[in-house]
Amino acid sequence: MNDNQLLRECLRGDTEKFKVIVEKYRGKTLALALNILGNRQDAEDACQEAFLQAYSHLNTFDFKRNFSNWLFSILYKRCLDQLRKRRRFFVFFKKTKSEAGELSGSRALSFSKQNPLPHRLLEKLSPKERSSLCLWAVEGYTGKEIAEVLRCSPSTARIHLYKARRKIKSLLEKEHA
Amino acid sequence: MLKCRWIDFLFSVLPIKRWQDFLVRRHIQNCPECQDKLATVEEARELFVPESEIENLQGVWPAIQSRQDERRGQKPQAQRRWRWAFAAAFLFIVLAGAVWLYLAVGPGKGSPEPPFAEQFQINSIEIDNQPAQAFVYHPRDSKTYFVWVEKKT
Repeated sequence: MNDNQLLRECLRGDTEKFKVIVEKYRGKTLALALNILGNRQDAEDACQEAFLQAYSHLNTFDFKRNFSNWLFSILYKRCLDQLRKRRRFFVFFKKTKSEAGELSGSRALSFSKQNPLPHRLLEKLSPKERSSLCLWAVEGYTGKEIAEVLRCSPSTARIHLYKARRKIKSLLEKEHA
Repeated sequence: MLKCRWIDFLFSVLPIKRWQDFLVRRHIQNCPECQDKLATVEEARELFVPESEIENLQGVWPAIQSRQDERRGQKPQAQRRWRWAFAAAFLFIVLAGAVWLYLAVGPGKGSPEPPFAEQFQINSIEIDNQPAQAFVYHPRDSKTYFVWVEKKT
């Protein structure tokens, strides 16, 4: 059974078929989320949210589209939400630290190191660039497919990818030098 | 080489996506020197955690199911709340209407019946043993009645 058949069965009321979909994509989605967020807990939350959203909006899915692209685009949005939440937390944390000065240095250090990305070079990229690069390198996506996930134009997706590749190359060269 | 530098310059000087994409498609994609400045698929892939190395996501399905159940539980509750709110609003409107109606036309309101003493009746009027015509006037806000009688012509 392919994805579309499974989804059609699911829409007819056979919810167990969605379990097959989850089993099929959970590894890929977690890998993508982890590569964007760099934190296992956040990645798991984003994945759960993405699957849940996909399940509850299954009736809006266009069967002409690729399901994995649709799922990844939902996941990408949830990852951005997680990053936004994290940014808000860090702003709050910094403010608390500067105003009250109550947190110890070791605690502050642990917060800053809390979310290391798989590779520290990836920190230098923006979430869009990181996502584009990950989809291109790991999933083998083209600019058009990346655009579908990122919900932007193919030219914008190609630019994100180009910038990401260029930044990474120069960082790798600096590291080796 | 000089052309590549120019392309780099043009790429950075005009940060318009379409223009940059045009340069990428027209030159950078096909130029080996420019390609050398970009990370290859293998180099990029090494930076990311592959699917095989990730300890797989456990318990996603139960989590989704429990979240679904939560949502299903929340929905009827919300619906019930709406029904109660609607019923309460309807009852309030009915009660308000009833109170208004009672105050407007309830006992002691509206057009009062004249007291018994003010009631009078003219059975027949005659002038010179001939039936006559009677006209009764009652000025507003007055207890006086005028009766005008005239002979029928």
